Formats: sequence, structure tokens, C-alpha cells
Amino acid sequence: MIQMHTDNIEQINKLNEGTSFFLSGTVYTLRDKALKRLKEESIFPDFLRNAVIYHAGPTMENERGYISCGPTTAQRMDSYLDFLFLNNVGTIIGKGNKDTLVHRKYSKVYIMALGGLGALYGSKIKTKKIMMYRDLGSESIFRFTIDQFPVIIAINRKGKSLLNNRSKDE
Amino acid sequence: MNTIDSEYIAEIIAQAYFNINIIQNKKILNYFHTLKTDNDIQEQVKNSILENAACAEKYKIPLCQDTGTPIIFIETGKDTYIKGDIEQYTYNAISDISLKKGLRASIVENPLNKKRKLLFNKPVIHIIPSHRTNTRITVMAKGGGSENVTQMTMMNPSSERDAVADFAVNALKEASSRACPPYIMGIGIGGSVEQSALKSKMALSGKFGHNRKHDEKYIAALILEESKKLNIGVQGLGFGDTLLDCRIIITPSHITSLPVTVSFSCFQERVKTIIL
Repeated sequence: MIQMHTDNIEQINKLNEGTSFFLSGTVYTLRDKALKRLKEESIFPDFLRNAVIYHAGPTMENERGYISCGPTTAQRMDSYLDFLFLNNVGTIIGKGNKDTLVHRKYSKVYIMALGGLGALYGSKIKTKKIMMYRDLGSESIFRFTIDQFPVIIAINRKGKSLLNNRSKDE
Repeated sequence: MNTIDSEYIAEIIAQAYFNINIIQNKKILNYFHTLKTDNDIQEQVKNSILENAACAEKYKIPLCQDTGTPIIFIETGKDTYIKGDIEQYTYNAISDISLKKGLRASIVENPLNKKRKLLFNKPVIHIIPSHRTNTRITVMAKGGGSENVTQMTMMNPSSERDAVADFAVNALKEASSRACPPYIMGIGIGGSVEQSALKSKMALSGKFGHNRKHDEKYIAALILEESKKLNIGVQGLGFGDTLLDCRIIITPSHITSLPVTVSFSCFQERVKTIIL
């Protein structure tokens, strides 16, 4: 299995749809309410430039310090992708099918993580820190250090999708 | 008269809500164990799903980070009295266990408010009158992704079975891979509007006598057959099933209207029934 690191975002963005690999490095969570707030801010935070965005919101820590955190539906992010890619975000991780055109427009891949597997992904999160919006709870922006997330390129940088294109949004 | 103490059942409900979030449904686990795969990606997906169940039990963390809205159906038996504030006690018990054992606080007090006040998994409680001699409680952890693909319509009251099946299959097509397939579908046909939604959830839980009537069986079989042509499959990757089960409840309905609600569960089916 191919191993990739988030530092090599240019290489990741060249992978073809259907490539499955292990992703390690640093990701930042960003979902619904936090995305909306971020768009309303006057300054875009530097730490998100070239970073990999994980569309996700973790559970609280349990007594042993573990969390569960799989991906959430990528389609809900679509209306924010122009904003994110214009601000040079590396690319995104989510689940399920989504719009393909925006990926072609900005030459970015869509990395699909597997939905419903929060325990598996949670166990591969080695460190976590809240960066912004603590009051949003699970929707805060977290920085995670991840070790070998199993992921698949679902849309390549030309907008070609691995998932079947039957839903209205495609 | 039977008296049930709210404080007592609240603890049982909260524990059940925690357990279903940690321990994968055995039928579903077995489905994935025996799932045939054709290539490396499919094999990796299958193994990841199995590994996830093991991780959840090992680290005592939720199978899915979306630990869901706790939906509680309480079927009170004959002449049963529920003592105390069931809503408050249940919320207290669920929020305690959510905080202590690391579930996610996914409910906000007012979704439209710019500032967020988190509620630690405020449950939705339905008290269902029944003719049972005992009280039965069904606890469901319902994820938001699958809730988002729910569809409801008011059909023409002279519609036939195939039209209902068409509507449901179309809902499945539109759900596509967004809500963690393979899915389970629950359909409430007829009744008043809110009853059709409630019955679709009850059907979805699989604990309320679905697919008993001839029409229920017919429509469910038709939808399952049609679902095979959609090729959505596990995680939208086109292998395995798109729909694992279709559960239907038909309710008496006004001659003028025919409400139909189609609800979905992701493959992480989290339901448990307790009989007191």
C-alpha cells in the first residue's frame, strides 16, 4: 500500500481516482458552523494554507483519552470550496460523493475516507489541539497528527470521479 | 396499576445508548465478514470496517463519531404509570454518560442561533400506547447524515403500490453514497403527516412488526429488487449491497391524502430493545 504524507500535498494532488493509500501527517478539521464562521472572518488563518482539511467533528475524549473521528458528508462542503481553494487550501478529506467541477477548476483531488468508521480513524489520531472556535465543541477547528489514515482518491484533479454519478449534485 | 420509575429506566436507557454506540450490530458485522470482494480496494474497505468494530470495543470509543440523536420509543404496557419527569431524567442520564465516556455532543439548543449552546445529546422520546402486559423500550442512535437523506411526500390518494416503490427507489438514488451505504430503509405509508414520519422511524428500527401485510411485503420486495440495479454498494464503491433491508408499516389513512415518509439508516445500525 502506498504511503503519503500531508507535507507532499503537490504529489497527493497528482494521484489518480481509485488510488488507495495511507495518509499520515497533519490535518485540520473544519465543518459546517466553523466553515461558515471562517468565511465571515476578515483574515484567513495561515495555518490552513496548503493544509489538508478533514471534514469531521470528533467525539469528546473518553476516560482513557481516546476519541472517535471519522469523516462527515463531503457534499455539505461544496458551497465553501471556492472560498477554501481560493485561499490555497491543500485539499479536503470527506465521505460520499460530491461535486466534481470544483476539483477540476482548482486542480485538487478529493480524498475520500470511509464513512461510519470513527473508531478506526480515531485510533490513528496521535495528537490533537483546538486551534479556533472552542465554543463550537465538536465543530471547533482541531489540528490532528494522524498516522496511516486509510483513504482513497475519489475525484482526481481533472474532476474524474470513482463514485457513480447518479445523485442530483453531480 | 404498574408503576415505572423514570429515574430507574433513565439509567437503563442511557446505558443502552452507550452500548449500541460501541458494540457493532452482530448481523451487520456478520454481513461484512462474509462479504465477497473482487479487488484490493474492496478488500481494504472490508477490512477497515471489521477493524473499526474491533477498535471500538478495544478502546471503548464510538463506532462512528456521530453518536446520533437518541430516539427512544417507550411502549407502556396496559395500566402503566410513569412516575417522575421521564424527559429530564433521561436527558440527565444520557448527558452524564456522554460526557463521562466520550460520546459526541451533537445537539444544539437553537440551530439558528449564531452562538451555539451545546446540549449533551438531548433525546427525542416517544411514548407509544400499547396493549402489552409489560413495558418495552427501544433505543435508537440516529445519525445526522442518514437523517439528511430522508424524503417525505404527499402522494395522490389513488396511487398504487408501484408508485410508492418508485418514490422510495428515487430517494435511494438521491441518497447515493452520501449517508454511508449499504442502507436500511424504513417507510411509513398513510396516517397523518407526523404519523407517517413516526411510523417510518418505527419501521426503520425493525422492532415494531413491519412487512406483515401483503402490500408491505410486496413493496419491500420490489424496492430491494430495484436497489440491486443502482450499483451504489458499500461506501458507494459499487460492490456488495446498496440496501440491506426495507421495512414498511402501512397505517389507516384519510381518503384525500397519502403521506409517505422514507427514512434511512447507515450501515452502522444502532438499535436495542429492552423489555421491563
